[in-house]
Amino acid sequence: MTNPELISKAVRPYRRRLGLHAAVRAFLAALTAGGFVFAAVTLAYKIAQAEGGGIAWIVSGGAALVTLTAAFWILLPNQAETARRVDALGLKDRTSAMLALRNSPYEIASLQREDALRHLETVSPGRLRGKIGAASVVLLLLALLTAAASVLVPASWFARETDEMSGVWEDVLDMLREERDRMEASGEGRLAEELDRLIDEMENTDSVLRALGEISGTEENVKDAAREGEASRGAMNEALDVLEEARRMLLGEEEEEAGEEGKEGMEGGEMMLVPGEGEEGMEGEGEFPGEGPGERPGEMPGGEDGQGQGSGEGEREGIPSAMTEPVYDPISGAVPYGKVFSAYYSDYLRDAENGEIPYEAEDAARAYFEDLDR
Amino acid sequence: MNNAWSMEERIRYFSRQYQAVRGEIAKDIVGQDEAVDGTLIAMIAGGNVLLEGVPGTGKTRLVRSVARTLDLMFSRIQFTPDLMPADVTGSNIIEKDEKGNNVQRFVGGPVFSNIVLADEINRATPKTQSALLEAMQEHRVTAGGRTWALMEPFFVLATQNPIEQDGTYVLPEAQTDRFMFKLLMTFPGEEELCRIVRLTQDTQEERAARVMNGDELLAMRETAKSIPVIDEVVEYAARLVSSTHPELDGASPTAKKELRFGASPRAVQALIAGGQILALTDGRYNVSRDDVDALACPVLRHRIKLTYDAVMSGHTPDEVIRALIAEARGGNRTKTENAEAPDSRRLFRRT
Repeated sequence: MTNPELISKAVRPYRRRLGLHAAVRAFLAALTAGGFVFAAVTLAYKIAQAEGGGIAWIVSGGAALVTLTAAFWILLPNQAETARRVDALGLKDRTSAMLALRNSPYEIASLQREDALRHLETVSPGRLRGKIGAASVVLLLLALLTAAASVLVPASWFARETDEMSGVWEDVLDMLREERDRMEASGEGRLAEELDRLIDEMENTDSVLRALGEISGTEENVKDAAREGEASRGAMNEALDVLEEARRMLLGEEEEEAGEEGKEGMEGGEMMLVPGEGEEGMEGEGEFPGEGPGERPGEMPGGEDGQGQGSGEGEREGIPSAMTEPVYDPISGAVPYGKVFSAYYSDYLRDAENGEIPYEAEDAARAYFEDLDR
Repeated sequence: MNNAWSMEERIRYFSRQYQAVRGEIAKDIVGQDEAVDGTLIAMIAGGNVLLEGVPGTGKTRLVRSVARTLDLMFSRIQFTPDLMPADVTGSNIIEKDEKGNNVQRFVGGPVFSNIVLADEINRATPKTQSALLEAMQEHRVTAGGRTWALMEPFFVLATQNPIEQDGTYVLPEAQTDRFMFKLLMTFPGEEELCRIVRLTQDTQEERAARVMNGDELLAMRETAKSIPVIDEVVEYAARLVSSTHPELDGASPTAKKELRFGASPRAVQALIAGGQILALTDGRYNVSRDDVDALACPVLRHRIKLTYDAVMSGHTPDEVIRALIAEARGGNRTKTENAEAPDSRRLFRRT
């Protein structure tokens, strides 16, 4: 009777060969898994704008090791599977039958085992070919490409605009809070109240246009407060400066640039007015008679009595940033929407609140500003 | 065959006898390897065979030659529409006994033989065809209120002509299922035709000589039954037969598209029993999946029914069976394994 140990020994070389195939396939699977994990971790760090390139190597190495081990043990064929693979090389299930009958005491089983061993000798283990599917190769290439791409893609691609805006928003709020505190400390209660209201509004919205509208409204209120004697002129100007600065920050304008433009406007005395508002400015009386030109650069370039071009309330009522720059370029036909919309939006809000927008146009107007806001 | 022989000696004897019978039949039949091997395998396994072929392909000659070689009693029934069941099984006759009294005596019909050639079986009415059912399955005949055992070994080798269908009665499923194999006698090639002419120039008589007798055939059957069949092979055969049933859950796409209904459990038995003999003739001591594949067409082709669409598309049962084999084998072979795999279109291929 054939010794069962002899049978295992006869099958062992084939199992070793298939084990080698399993190792190669497991290695490819590990490379694939490692590549994908590396790409995922690298991209995650880049998206989070964090430093940690070394972590990707460690995590992907671990994933590859786990995959290698798991895949090898899954792919490593057992004796029965080995026998099936060997039989497929023309042995007609002799090896499988030999393993199944290894402990059978019957004479026919013994004959079968001897026959199988005899035939097994004619099949070299080298004839067992590994099978690597096209899908595995494609996946591996994909993983390597993804990993390479994750390294090459710059982190700046993932810098989010919303984050930048969020930073600006916070800066504006900080500046307004600081100003509010200063006003409170200097006894300018009304102005502090107005700024506090503005801060509340800004804390409860994420719409830049709405914030710009609120800033315009606050400017009006600040001026009203000065007119009504509830605030000093100096405090008003300071508050207006801060509000102007807030507007510039929200519009993403450079301070220096804006300052230059303001200066030019002042010096030349050629501020372009928004139609309608300019006329009001021209005709209206000076809001602050007695103030000489240049006390408030760029804003009070009129005559001493506050009459004339660009003096008085008319100038103040114009939105400073919009007014100190051309709103319409007749040569190119381009309109700097980013700069005039705060004024338009403020008007829209006011008119909407007063019910001055025709019912039929309400939806269209709202949709227009909502679209712009997006 | 000596009862004291070892298994090895029995197997050696089996192979020797099989080759001897095969050699003798080759003296009478040119080519037709599938039909000759299939007939011999079915006879050793104790199954019945349905031979189908156009006239002149040697169906009757094959059966006569086999009967001569095995030295078995042979009877032939020419099935015609007016053939009655009693013409097959036999009937009671009234005769005088020694005292002059009338007594009934059963006179066995042609079915009382070792080999019954049911020539053009599809020409008889279903009633007469069914007279063979009991004989084919249980090897006995009930007539005149009594049951008569048939002699062993007993085989029915039926023939039918696939072309001339006028005045024929399609065999009922219950009867076709009792045929272990349906073997096709193909039209011989040009070279084979020349050999047939040379072979029959002298005489039309069969030349095959007696090689063994019925008892030795039964002993060979016992030897074949001892060949081990591992579970994987049985499961494979069962899977293949199950795959012919479109109504089963998880039926293959081919079965759903091409088949109306599938094979009976007798098909699995036939695949395994035939596989044991095929293994021995191939010099093996185990049944392999390749044996099952090789026998699939003869075992299944008369047990499955194609859908109308499949028939209209010109598909044959053999094509569908080969597709089912491919599905049952699965597509997970390597190139090398595919190269080594037997071509299931070449039945009974020898190594």
